[in-house]
Formats: sequence, structure tokens, C-alpha cells
Amino acid sequence: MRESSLATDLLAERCKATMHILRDSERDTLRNPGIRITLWLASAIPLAAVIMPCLYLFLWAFWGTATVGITNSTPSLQWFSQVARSQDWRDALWYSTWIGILVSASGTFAVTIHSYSAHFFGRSVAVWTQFCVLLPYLIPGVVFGLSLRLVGPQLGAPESILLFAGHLAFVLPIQYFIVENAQERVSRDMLFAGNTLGAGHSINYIHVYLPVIRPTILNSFVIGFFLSFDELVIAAMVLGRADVTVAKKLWDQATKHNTPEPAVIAVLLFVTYGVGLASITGFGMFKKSRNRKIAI
Amino acid sequence: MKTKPRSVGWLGSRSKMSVLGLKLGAWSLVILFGILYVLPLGSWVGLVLDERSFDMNWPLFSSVAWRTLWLSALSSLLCLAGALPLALLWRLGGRAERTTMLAAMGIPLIMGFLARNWSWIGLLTSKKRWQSFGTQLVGLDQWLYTHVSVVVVMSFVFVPIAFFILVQRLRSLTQIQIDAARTLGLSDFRIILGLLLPVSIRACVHSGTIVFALATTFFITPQMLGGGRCDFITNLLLSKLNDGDFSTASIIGLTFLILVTICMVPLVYAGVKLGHGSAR
Repeated sequence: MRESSLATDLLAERCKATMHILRDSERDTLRNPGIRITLWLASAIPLAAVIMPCLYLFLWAFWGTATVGITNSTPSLQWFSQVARSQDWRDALWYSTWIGILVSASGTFAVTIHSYSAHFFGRSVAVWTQFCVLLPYLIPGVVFGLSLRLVGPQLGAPESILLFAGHLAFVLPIQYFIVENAQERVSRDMLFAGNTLGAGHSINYIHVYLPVIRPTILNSFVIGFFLSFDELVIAAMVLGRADVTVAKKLWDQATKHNTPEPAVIAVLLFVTYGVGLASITGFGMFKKSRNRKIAI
Repeated sequence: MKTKPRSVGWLGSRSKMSVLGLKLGAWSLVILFGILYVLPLGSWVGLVLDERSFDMNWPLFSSVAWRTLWLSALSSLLCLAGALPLALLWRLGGRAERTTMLAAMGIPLIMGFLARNWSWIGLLTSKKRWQSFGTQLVGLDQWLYTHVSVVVVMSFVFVPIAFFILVQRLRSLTQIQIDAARTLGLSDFRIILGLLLPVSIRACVHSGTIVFALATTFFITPQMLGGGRCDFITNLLLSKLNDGDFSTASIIGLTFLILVTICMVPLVYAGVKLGHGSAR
């Protein structure tokens, strides 16, 4: 009886937190149409300037020729098939993908472990952590890349380890802020309740904490993956000629020719993200409708 | 009601090892950054300070460093000017506006910096006017391979990053506070002026600091859109590395690190001061 009332309280708290976020995020605050129009007019140029290059990438990928700026009259998939047939490109895509997955998974895991543990300690942990995570973005990244390039061989570290370390240092701050923002949904009382009832920290972490921030973990992983995939500063400093990431390969060819491979890679990334997002959303909607049917 | 204990690491811990594990978990990111970031950087600084033989062209370094800093500062300001109305629209608008902004700012980040820089070259050199999406109409193509194109493209490339940082800070202003202001009779304009803009200024300082730091270390746009006439320090550093001159590259890197740190101190100080002001 006690356990069921505790479970009900926890459920009620989660519902309240969700409703609070929904109320906050979906309310349209503007009532004056003049202000709305002014904001839209002020946003038009930056919005257009941000979107235009993305639209051009689609144009270039399907209608592009070997010279950037000159397009064919009919679309074709020749550049996609060229990338697919090239062993170099396949190797680079594979290398970038597994580095991205490894970096993103490690970063997400480290950040969730930290954010769970930090609930049980005072403010000094948060202050020091914020200082450390901001360092890679306050100190020029090229300097860090240079230090990895020069110090790494002396430590006997192979290029892949240096690349992993460099990418993790750049991806962790972003993942940290994503997960930190989700902590407002995590009730400290809920975590303490689990411990008070006898659950160890590992059980509490897996069965109480992780389910609450599950969407955040997914966001953190996806954003970390794309950041690592596109990272060039560390790759340019650390990688030699043998194994290269996609970003490094694109950069190496930047001075040599203007073929639409960058556009092809960008479109592939966009499609991958879109398919992934549609699958997750569809699966979520399917689960909701199934749970609703079971409830009925 | 949320409880804020100083330290309850003993809760749920069955042994001293368990408490130690929890403490390690809490400090895990600090330890990780110490190993991944501070250690290589510290070792490198030690190596550089021992360096005696390097071939440094100080006049060239000074002119490139000055160009890097002022063009990065200009790009950061333009970037903030572009991102702020987008962030305000996100904060004040309804679901449709928020979804549009998130999609518009998220898609460029997925497609990548390098591809977007290539795309700008295509927009500005396109033989068919309509494929330039209006950039040639405003005469931007005449500024290709000059400082202007570097600043403009860098500003717009960083707008999504500045947008997400601004949005992060603007979220601290809750709907309840805005509703309270409206209940007290304030119009939309007064709400923006009295509530949002003070928070926005703090957000702009934080966002500007990060964007400036990113811009100083950027080398893609200066090389691709600058055409060799607008190289940044990173381009100079990369060229020394490619030539195998690690000593000079290290000296360039360390000197530039000191310069950027000096430039960042007032920004970080302003950010901290404004943060403390908001707490009061």
C-alpha cells in the first residue's frame, strides 16, 4: 500500500513537471501584431542567410557539376554514386561514424553519471564543472589541437586516441549543457526517496534517474554525434594521410577541386537525421497509441 | 518543495567505496577535462617554454593577429545582431514560431560548417542569377575573396550557435514572470523593454564571448572566402605545421593564446558581473 502510494506520488510529480513545461513552452506571449511583424522583419535577413546555403547544398548535390556555381539543367545522382563507389569516401564515412558514435556515447555516459552524482553534493561541484567545460570554448581550439599533435606522439598515443580525446573535449560541453537543462525535470526528492527506500546508487541511476531524462539522453547523443562528425580543427591538426575523417577529407580537397562531394555529404547527413527523427517520433506515437488502447 | 542538502552522498551508499564512487562520479567531468584537456595543454606549454630555435616573423604575426581579432570581433557583433531577433521571436512566439526557429537553426548545424562555406562560394559565383538566392542582387558577389565576404559569411555561419546560447539564457525568464507583468498592465513593448532586454543583454555577453572565441580559431571561412588575402592566425599556424616547422607553430600558438586570453578577460568579467547582478 505504501509502495503504491509512493509510486502514485512519483507519477503525479512527473505529470506536474511535464505540464509545467508544456504550459511554459506552448503559450504564445505576443498580443500586439505590430511587435510580431517587427520581430519577423528583423529576423528575415538572418533567417534567409542561414537557410540559403542549406537550400543551395540540395541544389548543388543534385544539379551540380565539377565546378561550383555551374549547374546542370537536369538532376542526377551521379555524385551520390561517385561517393558510394569510392573506397576512400566509404572508409572516411565509416571512420567518422564510429568515432562519432564512440565520442557521443562516452560523452553522454560521463555527463549523465556526473549529473546524477552532483545531486548529492554541494554547489562547488557545479561551479568547478562549469569552469572546466567552458575551457575548450574559451581557449582557441587550434592551440589544443596543436598540443595534441605535439604531445601525443611523445605519450605514444595513436592518432585515433588523440582524435577521440580531442572530439570528446569539444563535444562534452554541449552535452553537459543539454543534460544540465533537463535537471529541472528531475526531482531531488525522487532520487532521495529511492535511496531512502533502500535502492543503491546504481539501481537508482538506472531505474529512477535515466527514465526521467531519456529524451535528453537521446538528444545529447544525436547532437554529440553530429558535432563529432563535423569537427575539423582537431582532425586537421592530428590526422595524417592514412585514416581521415569526412571533414578532413573535405578540407583536403578544398584547394584542389570544387566537385559537389560536400553537398552530397551534407544531404546524406540531413537525410540520416530526418529518417532517425521520423523513426523515433513514429515509434513514440505508436507506443502512446498502444498504451492508450491498453488503458482503455 | 525541492531540498538542497550540502552533501548527502551517504544516502544510498552501503560502504565507503560506494561513497567514493559517488564522489568520483560527481567530479568525473573535472577529472576527465584534467586528463583530456589540461594535461596535454600544460605539457605543450612546458615544451614551448623550453623552445629556443624558432623562426618567427613578428611583423607578419602582428598584422595577422590584429586582423584575426578585429574581424572576429566584428563577426561576433553582426552574429549577435542577427541571432537576437530570432531568439526573441522564439521566446515570445507560439508553437509555430518556435518550431520554425528550431528547424531553421538546427538544420544548418546538421549539414556542417564546411559544406555551408562551400555553399556560399556557390551562391556568390553562380552563373544563373536565381541560383544565387538574391546574394548577387545585393552585390555581395563583388566582395568575394575580400574581408567583407569573410566577415559576412562567418557572421551567418555562427548565427545558429549564438541563437541556441541566447535561447538557453532567455529560458530563465519564465512564462509566470511574463504573465505577472501582463497582469500588472504592461504592454508587449514594455515587456520586451523591461523584462526581456535586460536578460538579453546578459545572454548577449555570454553568447558573444563564445562566438568570439570560436571565430578567432576559425580557419575555414578565411581560407575559402578570403582567397588567401584574409588569412587568420590559424591559417598561418596550419601552414607552419604543414611545412614541419613545429617550433614556430608552437610559438605562434602560445602567443596567440595569451592575446586571446587578454581579450577574453573583460568579456568573462562582464559576464560574471552581469550574472551576479541578476542574482541580486
